[in-house]
Amino acid sequence: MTDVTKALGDLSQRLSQIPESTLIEIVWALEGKRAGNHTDQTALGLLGQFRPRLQLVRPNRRMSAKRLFAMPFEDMLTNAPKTQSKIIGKISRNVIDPAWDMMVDKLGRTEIEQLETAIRAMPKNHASWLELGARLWPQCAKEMRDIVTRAEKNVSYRADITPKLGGPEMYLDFQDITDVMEIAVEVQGMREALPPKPIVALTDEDIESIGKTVMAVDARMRQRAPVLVYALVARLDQPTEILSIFVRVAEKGMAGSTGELASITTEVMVTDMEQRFEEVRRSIASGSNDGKVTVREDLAKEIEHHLKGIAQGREQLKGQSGAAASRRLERVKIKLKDVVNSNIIENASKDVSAVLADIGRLAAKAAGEGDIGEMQLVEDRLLALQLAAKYAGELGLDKELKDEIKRVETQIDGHTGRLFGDIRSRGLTVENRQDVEAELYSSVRMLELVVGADKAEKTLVEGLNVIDENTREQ
Amino acid sequence: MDGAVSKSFWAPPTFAERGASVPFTTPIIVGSRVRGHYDELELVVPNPSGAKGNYILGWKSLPEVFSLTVHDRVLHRALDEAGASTPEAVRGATMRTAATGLAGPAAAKQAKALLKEQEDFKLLIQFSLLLETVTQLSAGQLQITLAHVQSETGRQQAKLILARVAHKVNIEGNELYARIEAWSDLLGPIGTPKLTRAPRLRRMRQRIEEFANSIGGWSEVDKSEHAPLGGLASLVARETAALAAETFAVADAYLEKIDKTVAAWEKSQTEIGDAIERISWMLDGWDLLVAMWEDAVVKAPHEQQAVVQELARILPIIPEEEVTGARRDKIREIGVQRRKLVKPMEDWVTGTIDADLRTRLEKYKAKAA
Repeated sequence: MTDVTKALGDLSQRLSQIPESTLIEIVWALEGKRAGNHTDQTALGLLGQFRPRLQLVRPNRRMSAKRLFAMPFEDMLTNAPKTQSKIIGKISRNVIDPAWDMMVDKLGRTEIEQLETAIRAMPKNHASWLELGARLWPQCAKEMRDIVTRAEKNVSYRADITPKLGGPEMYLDFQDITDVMEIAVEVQGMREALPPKPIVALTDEDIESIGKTVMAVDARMRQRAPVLVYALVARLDQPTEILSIFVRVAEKGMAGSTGELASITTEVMVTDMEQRFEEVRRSIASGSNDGKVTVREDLAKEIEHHLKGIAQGREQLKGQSGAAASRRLERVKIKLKDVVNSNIIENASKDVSAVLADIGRLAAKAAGEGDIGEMQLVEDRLLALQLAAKYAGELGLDKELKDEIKRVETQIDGHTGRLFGDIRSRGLTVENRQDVEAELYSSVRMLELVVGADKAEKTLVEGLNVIDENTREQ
Repeated sequence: MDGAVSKSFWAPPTFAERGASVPFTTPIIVGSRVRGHYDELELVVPNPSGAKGNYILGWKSLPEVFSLTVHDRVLHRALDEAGASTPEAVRGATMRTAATGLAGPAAAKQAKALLKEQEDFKLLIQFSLLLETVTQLSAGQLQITLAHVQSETGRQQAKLILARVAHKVNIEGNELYARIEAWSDLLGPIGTPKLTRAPRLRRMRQRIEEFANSIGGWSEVDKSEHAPLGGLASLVARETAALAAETFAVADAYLEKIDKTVAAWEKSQTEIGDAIERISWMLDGWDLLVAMWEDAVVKAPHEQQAVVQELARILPIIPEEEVTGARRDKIREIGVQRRKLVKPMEDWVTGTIDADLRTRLEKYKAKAA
């Protein structure tokens, strides 16, 4: 590991501690450094580290012509690898740079530089980019459509540009971008009218904005209406909400072509759910937790969120011609079950057993001494178990969860039982009382996290009584 | 006070009636306070619906009424044994309970760090005060160094130095030293304005001011129905910080004329003690709110909106009788506004202990000041 990589790793651990205002300043400076040079590795690396926070804080990132180009399809971007088969409604981040380089070639440096100048002349907190976008996107739409039409007709041309874009899958993403560009003004107009991602709830006013966009696209380029579905689903907190949103749009008499898009809407919705699961799986597989101590807790919560979405989606697909889609959602659920079983339930008792075997050293950490990371990971383990209890039944993991919890409980009971027996038979001195108390408290805490406060308190009260009764003055 | 108004919009009129906030980790009683009622303690639980009024329970019945975390059961007993009903007394028991690890290792680490910091500040404040005293009374002729508070020998030397200036206030050196020592002890939570790092209450006031700016800014850009509550929280925070600043100025003024302060020590001691106690009441309960908001600023908008609802429900509005004139009118109006805007907190009021909410409360505890 190079020093820079290590430094970046250390930085990411501290990211959450950087105040929002400072983060925005840093991002602003980095974007400036990177402007016009998308190979500046230090700036790229740093911005990559900031990405999780950026998604949350959403500072006004420094605009560039390239970013303006990608803005209408920003929500649809995915981190899936280049080789991943084409995902409906998603566009790989990897295709932005090669696609943009082609546009720079086609539109010419002068036009791009003029655009950059116009962008720089905009005030820092400028709210809408529609005006400048309306200048860029139609030009890109025309050039990209020319490329796609030529590539579809001419095999050798297609063979020439496909590797430049990063492979056949990226060529398909390029086609999607072309579609977006053709109605980019409408898509961006809708994005600016709606709340930021992830959208949890939409007001009547929001529904009206969506309806107006549908009508506008219908009037100008009806065949691009599916792009609106991609753009909307990608922006939702729960992709399965899309069905009820279209119902509300229809109630306002603005359904337009959305009524004919039922199958594509279902397809995009289900694919989005699958992709969100894939993102979870990828993050588990990468194994890089960047020093985070809430990995399993976060996973447990995310799965709960996915399950809600699946239940909602299946409910909405009932009685429609959605049986196939419903089965796909069921398959996502089965995959989630595996994730919960292998990452949250299995081996929890083994981990607790390892902690108990080393409790002499770890009890002090549980009470906040020195580096507490190790004990925070144990807590994360047990908390995730408790959170998963909320939906284990729904996943058919009730027995597995209960059995594992019982094993943890038996281990802790066994440990405290031996501890109390030992104190009764050998007694305690005032000097080692503190260590034994720390051991008792850490055991009680673990017990509470898995079986609840009533049982844990009983153990605590019994333990403190045993300690009091058996402590010698010297 | 207008009786009719106070009856229909009842809020605790004094700090003591409002009670001292207790940082419980059981979600349903978040924002609760303990107060003395004759010889007994009572728990004041904010109405979970956000509507007017509070629930008041006999302290001893708390574990029977609510299913509490082990941490809260231990804290409940500790407060009972100590008869704690002031912010400072509650704080002591809270730190000791958190240090056991029953609210998790991060909260334990923070409690231990704060206890250590309290000790470190003792020496620093004593030094700062001795330095100021000697500088003022010797007109800059004599010097005190940090070594004078770090060992018994150093302290003996400090007493000798004080003996050389004590005649200026007509008392003996040892007595002057004793008064400075007592004054330092009093100043523990606030220190002196000259310290490069401020002790906790002075820091808290600063954080409340930052909270006011941050949530105020948020309320201007958030477009949801929750935005006015953010504005309200900002207003209450700003009022509280301003009132506290005035009281800090009262306590700090005694440092300007040390000769007069130590000469009339009995009176000064009471007045300084009163000012600091008042500050600790004013800032009490803000710890949780500031931590909640600091945690929320990096979250998605809908989560921020939910947090604003939660914190508005437990917003520590200054009791009416603790202020006068226009400020009292303003506070009364804030209380009315809050009741109009706050919604019921369904998530927090289920009978069982919700693991997710409990963890959040423990995380806030790990950020306690």
